[in-house]
Amino acid sequence: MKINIFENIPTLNNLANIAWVNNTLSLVGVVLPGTISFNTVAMILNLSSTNSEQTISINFGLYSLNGSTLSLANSASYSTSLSSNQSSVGFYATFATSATQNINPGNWYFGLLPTGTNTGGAARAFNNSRPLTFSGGIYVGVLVRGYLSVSTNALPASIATSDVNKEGSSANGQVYPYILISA
Amino acid sequence: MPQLDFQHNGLVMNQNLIINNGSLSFFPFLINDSISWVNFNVAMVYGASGSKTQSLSVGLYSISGSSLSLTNSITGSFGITATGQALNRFWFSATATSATQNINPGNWYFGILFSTVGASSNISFGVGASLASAGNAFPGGFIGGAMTNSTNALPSSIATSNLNITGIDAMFIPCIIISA
Repeated sequence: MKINIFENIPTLNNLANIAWVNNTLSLVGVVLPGTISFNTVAMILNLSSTNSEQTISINFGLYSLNGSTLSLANSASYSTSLSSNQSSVGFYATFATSATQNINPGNWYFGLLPTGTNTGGAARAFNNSRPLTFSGGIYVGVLVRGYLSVSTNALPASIATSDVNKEGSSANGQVYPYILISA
Repeated sequence: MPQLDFQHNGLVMNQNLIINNGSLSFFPFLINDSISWVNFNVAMVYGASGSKTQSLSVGLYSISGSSLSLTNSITGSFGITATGQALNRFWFSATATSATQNINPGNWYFGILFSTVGASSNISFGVGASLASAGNAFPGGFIGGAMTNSTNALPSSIATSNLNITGIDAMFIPCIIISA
């Protein structure tokens, strides 16, 4: 079955802004119900800058899992700059994909890595639907959501799942944003 | 589609709904492809109102006509101490199915039964989106519901006509992850 749109969070649900942590790679497990062409990757962002000019960069990685290793299959990126004292504006940010790919149905992982300058007090946020603390205990079984335990400024080509903190282990770094892929 | 490693129902968690001890609720769950069922996780929230042991019994139900039939089950428990555990979200997990099973793709239902030993329960499901609900029953097929009376065991079968299918207390859906 070919699908044209996939959202990891239905947009009919409430979305809320959550500030991200630069150089923290979040991983979101998804179940693709059909084949989709990796043409457009988008997120809803809400950016502002209070003091000085800011550079915003986000890398998106498409990962597959084999055993206990995540492997980077494809990627996309988004970058922009903010002028000083720019007010908060929500918008769809469209990522530039690196290579066309038909993503097959099944389990995949979306990796989101924000980087960029972080001076001048810029407030930057993904749109996410889970604004509450979630740190009282992790789930059992295969990795579904979590974040890389060490900071990084580039998408790793492979990741051992033992290096990923599962959701529920700590409130830190838990940003699992709304992501849309369309053919 | 290959065999799945995990399946979840969206993982949108921004509300809580209190669970009553002995309540049994049924939630729809779509399986996109076959998965070997080993682990079950449901998002929950607890408050430190006293030491307690919270037990979870989960039944995997199929539906035929208007009857839900138990095909497999899994159990788990979680100890909560009175101090040091402020209101917090966690994954309530269970790891031992009563029998190995490859769940086929399609519509299934999880029946979740909670029982508490110790201090009065102050535990909630982590549910998605808002808690707005319709004031009438869904006129189509069964999309979930709750037993009106408390119980201490998963029934082997139950008629959907015996379930409350109106209002948020009966129709909410918690965040669930199952995995191989």
